[in-house]
Amino acid sequence: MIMEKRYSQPFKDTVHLGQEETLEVQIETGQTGSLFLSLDEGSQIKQIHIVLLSGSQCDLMVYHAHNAPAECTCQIEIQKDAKCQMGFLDMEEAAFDFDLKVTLCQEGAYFDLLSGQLGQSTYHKHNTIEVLHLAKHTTGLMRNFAVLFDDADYQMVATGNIQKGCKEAQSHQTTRVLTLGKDHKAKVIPLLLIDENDVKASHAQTIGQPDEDQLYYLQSRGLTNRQAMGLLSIGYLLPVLERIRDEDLKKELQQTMESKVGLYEDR
Amino acid sequence: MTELVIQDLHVSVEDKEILKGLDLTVRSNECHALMGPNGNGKSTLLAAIMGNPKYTVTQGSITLDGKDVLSMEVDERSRAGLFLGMQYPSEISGVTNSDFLRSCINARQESPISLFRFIKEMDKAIQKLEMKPDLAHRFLNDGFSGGEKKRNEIVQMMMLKPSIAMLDEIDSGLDVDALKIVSEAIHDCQKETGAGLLVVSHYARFYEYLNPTHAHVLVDGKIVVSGGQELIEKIDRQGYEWLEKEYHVSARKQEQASRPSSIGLCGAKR
Repeated sequence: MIMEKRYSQPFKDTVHLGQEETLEVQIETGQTGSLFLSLDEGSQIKQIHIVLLSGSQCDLMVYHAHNAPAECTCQIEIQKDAKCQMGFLDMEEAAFDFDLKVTLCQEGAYFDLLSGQLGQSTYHKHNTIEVLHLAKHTTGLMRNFAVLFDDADYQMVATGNIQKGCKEAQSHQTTRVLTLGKDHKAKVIPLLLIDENDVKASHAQTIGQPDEDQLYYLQSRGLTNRQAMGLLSIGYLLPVLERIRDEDLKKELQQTMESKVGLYEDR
Repeated sequence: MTELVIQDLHVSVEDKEILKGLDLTVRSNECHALMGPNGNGKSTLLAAIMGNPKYTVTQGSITLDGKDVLSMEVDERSRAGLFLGMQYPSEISGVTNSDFLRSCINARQESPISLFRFIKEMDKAIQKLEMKPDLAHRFLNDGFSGGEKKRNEIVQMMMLKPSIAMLDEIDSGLDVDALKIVSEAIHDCQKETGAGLLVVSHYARFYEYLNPTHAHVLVDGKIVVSGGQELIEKIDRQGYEWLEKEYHVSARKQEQASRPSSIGLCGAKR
């Protein structure tokens, strides 16, 4: 089943992907707006295809909202001087496979991703992200954050791919993984495939436990070990909510986040 | 009336004994000035009371209103009423001051504090410390100046209302005006809550503002002399040398940290 959306006026929309397996979105030339995509129960495989036409802008949030295993394939095409600021948040105790391919098709195309995932139990969180530069003066940014508790399994393969002739393209990525439990697996593979000399590109990654002094500081103010770790987790995941324009929804998701990382436990 | 009682306390760090049998009692509404040469155990005492895992208590006892503090976890000590304003507060990016403090307050009461009451109390503390109004929304100590970090410790003290507050060189990094502001805030907090204070500082001017009821000098892991304001004034005038002669003690000299040395040019650049 295919759901189609076409935005030819300024927009602020929420789409629940349940039974529909495929979503086709087109944002018309020069249009600006925000789109919240909630991956609800229903079919396990979701396919999303978004096209931003010239000069359009979209604040896009993809939220895994259902406690069941899911696979999501997302393709985004960004045309001349169009801009997509994307957030992706997954805090469910369920396996999730995320395959995101962004194509910066024309000059001035801009993409900025903030992703946050909470890994708990043995459910895997596997991500493959590629930002492909096909034109000069294009920008692709990725900031990925993950918090892992006991037995979590996280994988992030993030690729910035700059083709020949894409002069003054920029590709930057960071992935930060906070490990708070034991027996977890974290695999981060940052890739930069560059076939042009005149570019700016960088990658950075950290995988590690919280700083002991920080934990002591938080505990010295009355927070249990679990609450202190929860608060540090919030520090990792909260920036993703910047991508949501609806303040009420943002508050609601922040509360969900605080609850899921254990901030309200031991009270 | 709250009473913190420390008896025959011995504390080691990495198998090196720092405190060698220390006795001290702090009660509500009292203010104890703790002085002594650098590296003789003042900060160690406060950290051991708070339960810093880097410090090992090898002998002695600490009780708060008769309850065994040493058997409590760090967070339990805080919820029991102890507070330590730290010399080097941690910076925690991504966690805002308001989220942090709201969580800390909620951790010590049955039902969560109302947002209205929390904002009111936080605004009051921020104004009292003359800090910028955006403090609540800034990340915890992240990018703060030295002075701002120290003021923020007192904001936390005012919000958490401890029964015994320990302040470790909270005056360092403060300019003259800020010192007065912080001192007044500590005074007001003590007046409101009746807290007992244990304050480490090297500066008589800070103690002048706080007007301690007791003063102690800690040398080589033990309190060698206790007194009142006159003791603070004498140390301000004469330093610590007279103690070594009069009490036959020898102050531990602070070890110099080894300096990094250059290995010359990086081989990769040759």
